[in-house]
Amino acid sequence: MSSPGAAAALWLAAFAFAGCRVVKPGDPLLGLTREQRDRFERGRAVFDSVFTPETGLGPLFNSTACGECHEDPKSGGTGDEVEVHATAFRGGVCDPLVQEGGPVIQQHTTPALKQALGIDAEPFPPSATARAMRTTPVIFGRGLLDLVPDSVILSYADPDDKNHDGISGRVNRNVDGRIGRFGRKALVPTLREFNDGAFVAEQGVTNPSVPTEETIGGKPIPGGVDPVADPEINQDQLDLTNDFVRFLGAPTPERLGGEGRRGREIFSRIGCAACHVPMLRTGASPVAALRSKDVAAYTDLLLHDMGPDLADICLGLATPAEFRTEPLIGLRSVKTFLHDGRAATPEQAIQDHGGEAAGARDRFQALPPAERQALIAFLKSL
Amino acid sequence: MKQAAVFAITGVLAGSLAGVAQQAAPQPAVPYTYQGTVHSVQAKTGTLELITGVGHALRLVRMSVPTGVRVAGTAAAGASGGVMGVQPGDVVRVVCHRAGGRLVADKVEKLEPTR
Ligand code: HEC
Ligand code: HEC
Repeated sequence: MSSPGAAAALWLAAFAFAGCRVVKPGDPLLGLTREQRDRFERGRAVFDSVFTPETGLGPLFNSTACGECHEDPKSGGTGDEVEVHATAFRGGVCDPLVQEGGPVIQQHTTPALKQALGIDAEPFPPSATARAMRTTPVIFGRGLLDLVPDSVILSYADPDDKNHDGISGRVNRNVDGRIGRFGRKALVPTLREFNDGAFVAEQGVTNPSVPTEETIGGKPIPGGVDPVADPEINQDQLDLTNDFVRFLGAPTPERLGGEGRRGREIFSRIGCAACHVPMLRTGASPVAALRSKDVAAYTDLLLHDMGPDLADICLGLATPAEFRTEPLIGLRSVKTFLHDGRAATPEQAIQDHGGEAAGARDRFQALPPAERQALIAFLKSL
Repeated sequence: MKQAAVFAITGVLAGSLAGVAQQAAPQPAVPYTYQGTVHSVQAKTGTLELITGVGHALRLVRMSVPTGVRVAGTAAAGASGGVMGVQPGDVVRVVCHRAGGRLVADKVEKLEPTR
């Protein structure tokens, strides 16, 4: 584990190096070429495109556009949509219930599907052992998280808690065995795959990477309900969307006053930084603006057991109680906290930490009020 | 490196699901490779179901495994779990071909258990 002091120094250095140029929520990365900025703008147009049944929406969907959910304060931000996921956890093995339409259970149907089957949403899988509610996260800076080498993530893992700090992060694995990092359960290995899958899982928009529609609770789509030929968007549209998402910058933390600086020290001192690792560094990339960059990530991209109160579904190797340390990038844009939005404030989010994070939570609660306030001031600067 | 290789496999996989199979089209005998988690093993019918997919858009792929197809891979030797030496939750790589509109496995390889 890197020392908090070194991380703070790195942070300052990164900030100083970037000069006074600041990335606001929704802005592109600093240092993109003109051509990359152009693709960012064109990609945002696809991200914000509202699909209709005539242009490929559905027949099952959660919303009509990426930018309908990820919209606040700008495209790529948060949103008030909450979606439903379901899986079954039996004998220590996670079944994502693909045969019953899982793990994403779409909440809307096109008029044609409604007419054919009389349903307004995908039926909830009968074999599910749990239902998960998922709020829409900000996706700023995910292009940077995408490029943190697997070896760095593994270096923070301590599955058997060999250092006896009560914290034992471990990696999740995708269904094909690769290390995952995206999604609240860190199932998905790469940003591109997350985005490609989201077109279908969220909007029912097939594409060259995912050319088949979701099933209706595991059953095929009735004939004539989805007349648009697959894939419903082309490679160019998919690539532009991916460029928009990966070129979204991590908002520059706001300048800290004395209180905020104290808060940052407390964050490290009481053990928040053991999971919310302040700084990660990207590896190689053909894009200079993404290559070898420090990102104030505040995550280790690992799974941690957060205790029975937060537990919901399993996914991949993640047990119901395990969640990926949520990156705190752009936290000031977040409106409700934790995976299902149960916490209305950052304080409440901390109080809801359990399991491996119980020690840090208790140390937070034992702080004098002024120190707690300082920690919150720091969080609100992110 | 490894990531790139698997990504290419996913590409072929996606193509085959669509029935597009760009590279495979001119030669029907070209093998398809799937890497995924075993969902079910049916001893009687010799059927294997794999969980594959992209992102959160997961898919099931069903294939038949003719008797005589052996499971390769370290952990598989002498495995008593499933009929084909694999069980739900295992990660496998399967090379198969299409016959009569169905996928038929030629080689099943159990990958290292991961954690
Ligand atoms: C219905 C609302 C909705 C729509 C539409 C939607 N998303 Fe999301 N997005 C979510 C939710 C909810 C999550 C969290 C999923 C989870 O935690 O498992 C998420 C997560 C993500 C993540 C992962 C972030 C991380 O930190 O791991 C990315 C990237 C993303 N979405 C991109 C997209 C793209 C690209 C599109 C359009 C193709 C899209 N989303 C459409 C709701 C939506
Ligand atoms: C054992 C690892 C661990 C420790 C220690 C930890 N966290 Fe977390 N934190 C998580 C995980 C995992 C989540 C996501 C949980 C969820 O979504 O239900 C999270 C979520 C959060 C969130 C909500 C973010 C959002 O966008 O919803 C905040 C704020 C937060 N942590 C702050 C802190 C602070 C402050 C501390 C120290 C008092 C701390 N955490 C200690 C693992 C940890």
